[in-house]
Amino acid sequence: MEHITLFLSIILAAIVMQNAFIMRGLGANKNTLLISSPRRIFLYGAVLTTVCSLSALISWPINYFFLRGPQLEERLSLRYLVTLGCICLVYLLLWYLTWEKAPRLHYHLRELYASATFNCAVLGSLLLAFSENYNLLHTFGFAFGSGVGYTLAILLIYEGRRRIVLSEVPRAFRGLPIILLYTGILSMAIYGLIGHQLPT
Amino acid sequence: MQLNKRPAPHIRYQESNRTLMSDILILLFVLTVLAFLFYGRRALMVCAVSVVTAVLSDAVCILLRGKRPSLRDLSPVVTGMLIALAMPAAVPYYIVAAAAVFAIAIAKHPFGGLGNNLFNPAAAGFAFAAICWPDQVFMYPQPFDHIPVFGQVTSILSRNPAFVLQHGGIPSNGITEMLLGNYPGPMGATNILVILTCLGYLLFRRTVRWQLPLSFLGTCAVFAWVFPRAGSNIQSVCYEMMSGILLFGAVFVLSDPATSPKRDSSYAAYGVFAGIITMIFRYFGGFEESMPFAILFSNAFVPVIDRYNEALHRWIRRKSLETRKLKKTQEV
Amino acid sequence: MKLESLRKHRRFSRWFAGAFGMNTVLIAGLALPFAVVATSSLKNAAAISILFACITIPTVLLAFLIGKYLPKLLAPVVYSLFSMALLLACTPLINPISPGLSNTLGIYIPILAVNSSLFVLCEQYSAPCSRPIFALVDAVMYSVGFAFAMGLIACIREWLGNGTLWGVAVPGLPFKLAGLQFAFAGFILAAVFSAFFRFVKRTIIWLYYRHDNPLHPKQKTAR
Repeated sequence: MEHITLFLSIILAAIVMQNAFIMRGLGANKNTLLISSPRRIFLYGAVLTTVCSLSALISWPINYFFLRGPQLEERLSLRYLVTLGCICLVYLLLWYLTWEKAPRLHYHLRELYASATFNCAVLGSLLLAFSENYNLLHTFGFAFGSGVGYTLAILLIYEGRRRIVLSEVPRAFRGLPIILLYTGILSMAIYGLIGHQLPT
Repeated sequence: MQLNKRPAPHIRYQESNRTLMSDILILLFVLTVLAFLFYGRRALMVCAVSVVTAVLSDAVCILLRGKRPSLRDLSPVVTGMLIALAMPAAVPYYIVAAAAVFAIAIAKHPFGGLGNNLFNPAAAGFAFAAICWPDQVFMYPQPFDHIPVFGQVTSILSRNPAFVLQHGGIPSNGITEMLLGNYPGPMGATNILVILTCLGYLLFRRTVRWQLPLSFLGTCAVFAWVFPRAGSNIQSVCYEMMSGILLFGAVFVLSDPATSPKRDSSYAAYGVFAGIITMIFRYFGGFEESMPFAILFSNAFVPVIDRYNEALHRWIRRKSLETRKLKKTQEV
Repeated sequence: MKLESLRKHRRFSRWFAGAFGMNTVLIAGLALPFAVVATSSLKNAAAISILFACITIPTVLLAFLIGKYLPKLLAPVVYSLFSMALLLACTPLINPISPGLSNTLGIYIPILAVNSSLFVLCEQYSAPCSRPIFALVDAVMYSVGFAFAMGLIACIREWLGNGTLWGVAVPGLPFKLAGLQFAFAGFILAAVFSAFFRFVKRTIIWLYYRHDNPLHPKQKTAR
């Protein structure tokens, strides 16, 4: 029971309090912020979450057995390279698998693979999970939660955009700036959950 | 036939931005008078600084947008008053001024100004001040203490019952004392009975629909009853409702017409949602008073609630129409 | 409608597109995570900007040289691994700024290797283009623009939030806005500066247009 609670709390923390996008700004760029349909956001989020969780599973053993303890200081750069290598591997693997087994799915996803995989949110949340020294299950939970949290954040921003279109936004703020401001205020609201022990 | 030369609309609803805002302003003035009685001239000065800053920054923003500021628009005054009344009387003036500027220049005008803002400006201003200066914003002077209008505040500052609740204790303040507002807290938010009367007035004037504050307060009460933080269930409900700025926020901040949904049923759904979020923020949040943060967070979900509730209504209407048609064909 | 001077301005400003007219962060909206989080002090911003320049320029040149021969599937893999290798080699460059800076920046150093502006530029210049010199010009200018935006946001955040600039206390600030040190302030400042620079860009274009097409006296009175 305790393990399940811990696992769920890690997933929840990754979705809300450590949301990759809203709290750390990972994966924020114009192309993802301004995706124009919820269906595309779902697909994008699904690819991102899959890549993130699978690469967590693959890269965790390498990190756990070779890159920890006192020798980590000098091997930290190796950790970055290995994690990125695992992400690339998962990218190629997913691409090949869908191409071979599910051509119809592949047709819809082929444009999204590269931008969803080589997104700061994937590498960033994996490295965060490794720096917390989680075990395999918790790393997987954190990676999965980060992916889901990222998707939810983009969806929420999409809803906000639909509402912003109706208002009389000053011309200079239209488009990207107002979305950034919206995210900023949302991020400020979530800081209320963290409170006095704010990280810098 | 006599034609009216003025452009449309020719028939206006009695209710306007001005009537709504003046209704709220009257009540806020009452609270300001009470704050004056409790904390002396310092309270009036805090309100004045906040209102003047808010009105000035509003005028500057409107001029920057190439429009003409209107003297009939009372909303910056309301924002300024709300920010001031949610602060302690001993707060330094620059904090109130910074909060008012943030509220108007960041949370209101970039989103389109009056009536278009997605987030409540007052809540955003207060949240910003709370993050920047938590030590000054959450330390309150005792009522009837002498606080100098200018210069260093030397009176002893203490915590609100919300702080005790957050740290798992039971507040030592009596219920009657809390009802009458005789405990350290935000200037305008401690007079529980007066705020309840204000709620009654607003409901009577229909400035605020009853669905929103009642569902919000109901949800908070149920939450506090089911998961008590302090003592017995009833004690928990009483202290949760009366500590901090929960009631004040529910009556004046949450009910802002620009940031609440459109339908009555959406009001109810929004109230329940905001209530749950507020209580979660209170239970797990880092600050003792997370109501403004919770309001900002739930403001982001207002368009979602509006849209899905509209879709639900359409679905229900279509279903009932279909069943009626089916009945008619069967009768024939 | 005469557009000569506007076109002239366009041709001239193309050389500085990445730095001003199409600023990496503020107008193009790329590489935002760094502008949002890693700008809490000027030193952080400088370190990230140096590393950004170190990886962007060689990687874009690599994309320009071999991009044509790489299949679309493999291109991002090659670019990201190449830039990560470069990044790891260049990380000691930031140590003179302040010891322990790479620890402070944490994950924001490795994720430079997968930042969006890198891939956008690589994709743009891996296809055959009419003026190859712009591969180099754009890579340099995008780095300059990135550094400019980072510096601007970091100055405000460090000065107002901490009362210092480059770690040196700046006198004259009556109070600190400690909240500016957190990520939300990065979002808000990025939004405000982005709006400001869009306004400036629009105004410049409008002024060039008006220079060629002055208002008719009648129009002036109508306005």
